[in-house]
Amino acid sequence: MGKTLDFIDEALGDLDEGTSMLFITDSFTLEYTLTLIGFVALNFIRQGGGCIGVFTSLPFSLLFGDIKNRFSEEPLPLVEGSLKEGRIYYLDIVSDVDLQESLGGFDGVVRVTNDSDRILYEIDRSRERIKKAFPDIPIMVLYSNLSSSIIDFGSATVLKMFRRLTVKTKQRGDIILGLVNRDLHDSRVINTLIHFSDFVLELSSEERGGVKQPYIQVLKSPISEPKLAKIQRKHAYIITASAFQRIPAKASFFDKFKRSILLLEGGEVSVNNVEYLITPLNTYILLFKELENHLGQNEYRKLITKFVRTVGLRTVRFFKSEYGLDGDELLKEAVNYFLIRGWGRIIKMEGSLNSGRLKLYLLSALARNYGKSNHPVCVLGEGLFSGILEGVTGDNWTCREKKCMAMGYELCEFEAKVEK
Amino acid sequence: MKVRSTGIEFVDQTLGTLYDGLPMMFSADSATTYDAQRLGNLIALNILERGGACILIHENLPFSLALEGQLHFTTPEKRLALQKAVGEGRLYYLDVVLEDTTNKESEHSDCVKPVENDLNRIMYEILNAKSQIKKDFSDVPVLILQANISSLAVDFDPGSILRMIRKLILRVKRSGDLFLGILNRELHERKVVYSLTHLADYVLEFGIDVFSGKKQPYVSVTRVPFPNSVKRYYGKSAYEITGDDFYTLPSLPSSFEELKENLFYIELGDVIAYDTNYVITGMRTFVHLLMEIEEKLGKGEYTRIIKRVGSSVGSQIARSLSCRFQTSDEELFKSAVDYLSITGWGKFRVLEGNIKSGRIRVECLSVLAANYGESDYPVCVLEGGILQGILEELTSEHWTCEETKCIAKGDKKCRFELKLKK
Repeated sequence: MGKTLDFIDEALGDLDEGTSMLFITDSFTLEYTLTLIGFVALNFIRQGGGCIGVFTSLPFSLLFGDIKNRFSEEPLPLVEGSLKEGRIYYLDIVSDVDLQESLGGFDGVVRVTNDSDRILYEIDRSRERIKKAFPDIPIMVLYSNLSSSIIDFGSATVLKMFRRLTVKTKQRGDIILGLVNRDLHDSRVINTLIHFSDFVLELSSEERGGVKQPYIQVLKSPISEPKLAKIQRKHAYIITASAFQRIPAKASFFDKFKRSILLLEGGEVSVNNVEYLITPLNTYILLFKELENHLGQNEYRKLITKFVRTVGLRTVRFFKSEYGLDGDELLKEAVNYFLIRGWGRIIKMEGSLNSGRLKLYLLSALARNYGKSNHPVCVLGEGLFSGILEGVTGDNWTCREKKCMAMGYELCEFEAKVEK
Repeated sequence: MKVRSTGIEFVDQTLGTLYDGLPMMFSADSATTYDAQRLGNLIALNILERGGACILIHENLPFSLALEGQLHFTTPEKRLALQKAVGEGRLYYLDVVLEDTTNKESEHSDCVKPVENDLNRIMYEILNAKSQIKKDFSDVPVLILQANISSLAVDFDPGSILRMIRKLILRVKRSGDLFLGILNRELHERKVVYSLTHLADYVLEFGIDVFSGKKQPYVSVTRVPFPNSVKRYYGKSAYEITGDDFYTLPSLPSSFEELKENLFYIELGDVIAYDTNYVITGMRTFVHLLMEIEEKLGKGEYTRIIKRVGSSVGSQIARSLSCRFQTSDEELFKSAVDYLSITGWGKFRVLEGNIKSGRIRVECLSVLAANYGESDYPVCVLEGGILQGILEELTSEHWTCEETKCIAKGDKKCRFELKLKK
């Protein structure tokens, strides 16, 4: 029928008619989950689907601002157009009879008094209207969020309501997506909601030492073993204005490294007989800013890239001789060796070593903490990547940072190519 | 007219824009409820100073006491702003009292109202106050500050309170106003606390941590409205509240075990401890970098620049420590020196002297010097700068630092002579 997001498609298979989906969140990850369902719904609408959104906490007057802040202005014409043509319906829950505001000429916006029967009735009515105008398109009912409705009507009423919705969804061949915040409810309520759903995704946070880490995990899927075991792994993720991307969880690698850190008698911090310095990132930022001010941008860049290039080369040689790695694996290990120590992480790579061209996308800790800049600041990354690439392939590579988070971009983007 | 910031840097950085229809919630424990209320009051006052309007609902603080300073505004400017806003009808103070208020008149002005402790009555008076404000100031945003939601828990069941707050927040969203609620989470069941915070788009948590037997209040951002548009904080930050400001400072660990225990990898690629980003670099690599820089700049320029970097680093260390531990400068200096000893710089100790005498001698087994190779001059410029920066931050006076012995020169230990500059 349609696609949602790559990683959900992988875990769900085809978005079959009659699928009921539940996204479970906790309080810390609620806003991430709202963004995720936004991506899913927008992709569904982009592919020509119809949508009925039940929004318990977002009045229509705030919808466009919310989309703009959460994503960008890009989806606005799509949403406006679909609301006007009646392909999507926005059920705006109101607490009382305060209905005098203008709806701005959007036929798809319906004010609904906050009553469970009324909400179900309006969902049915909106569906009929969509089907009348667009008989062949699939329809997604998006309920955001079930927890606020439980505050309003109690859990028994909402469970019955969700059950009715999922049964109707199956009968009619629609799709339903509900969101619930697990922190507010007894496990029985959450388990009942899971029981009604075909596909369940959980966004949760883990707290250690007061630090919260968001993760995502598939809890239930129509896909059977053994593939299911693979997709049910816990993943980290990043959200940008244009993408919700799942990335491998790496904290356990760092934890392993951390466990081996020792403080020796002489004040050395040592890991496997190598001495380390654990210093605030800001120490480097202060140093780099001073050098750039003093030397000028070009000289500063030359100095740092030259130095870090040799560091990259040395590291690759070590990995080659010690572990016998080569090619892509060597590249991956050498890059990770540096980044896992606080410099950031690679989100994706495009191109290949063989083609002599690579694009690297980096979430740079240095750029995020540098302050605003009108030019790229990750000189260190440029030197490091060119050194590592040279070590891996034996060719001379140049690497330039084209976009930088310090300039306001979502990610730092490096272009590397073999020097002819 | 729009008010787009709270005037509190920490809140503005973690919240982004103060957008129309924003509901906020501060969840505190019993020890930090006052702090959360003080921050809430500061935000309200800043909004009033910027021309906005406010409805303050206080369950435990009659207006007469609020004016006497119990709203914690210690600066005359803030009190003046409060009185001016009342005078202009931009501030309504709903003084929730336990008795019947049918025939009760306010002693202050029409903007200060005694309100009977009844949820429907409170809701009615909030809406009434808002329509009064909107009559004269139709285009200003109105902040509804419910300063002590938890006091209601004694008189009403949690379901009623939740429904009232939900209704209020829905109205705020619809009308494009602002809401800020403050609750003491220790008075409610966990589920109720989560339900209240679930209703808000921006949530701060206040609490107390204990480090080495000392209590340390912290603030942590537990929800932001649009996670990809602001800097996300994952951990807890120490904070200070003054009469007219609220700010956070990064904390520093006081032992190697504490550093190791609190050092975490965040999946976005950060290594952090107490909200400070750290990097872990091979000491040899770091020393080679310094040597490259020295070769490029020449000894004189290198010393000047690296000392300045060190001084900034030292100053930050001192600021972080003085925020965390309210103790004497001598103690703080010792803690700062200890901090260097747990992060890989080497083993530092104060050999003799003190701040009071204006002369201090510090000795260390510098790992940097040991990795430097042989030299005919002292090489620990960065550490010297750090020590100097710590002292200058603590005393607000100029100090000099000279490295008189250095391992790189063949001495057994490095030695720094720090003197107050006359």
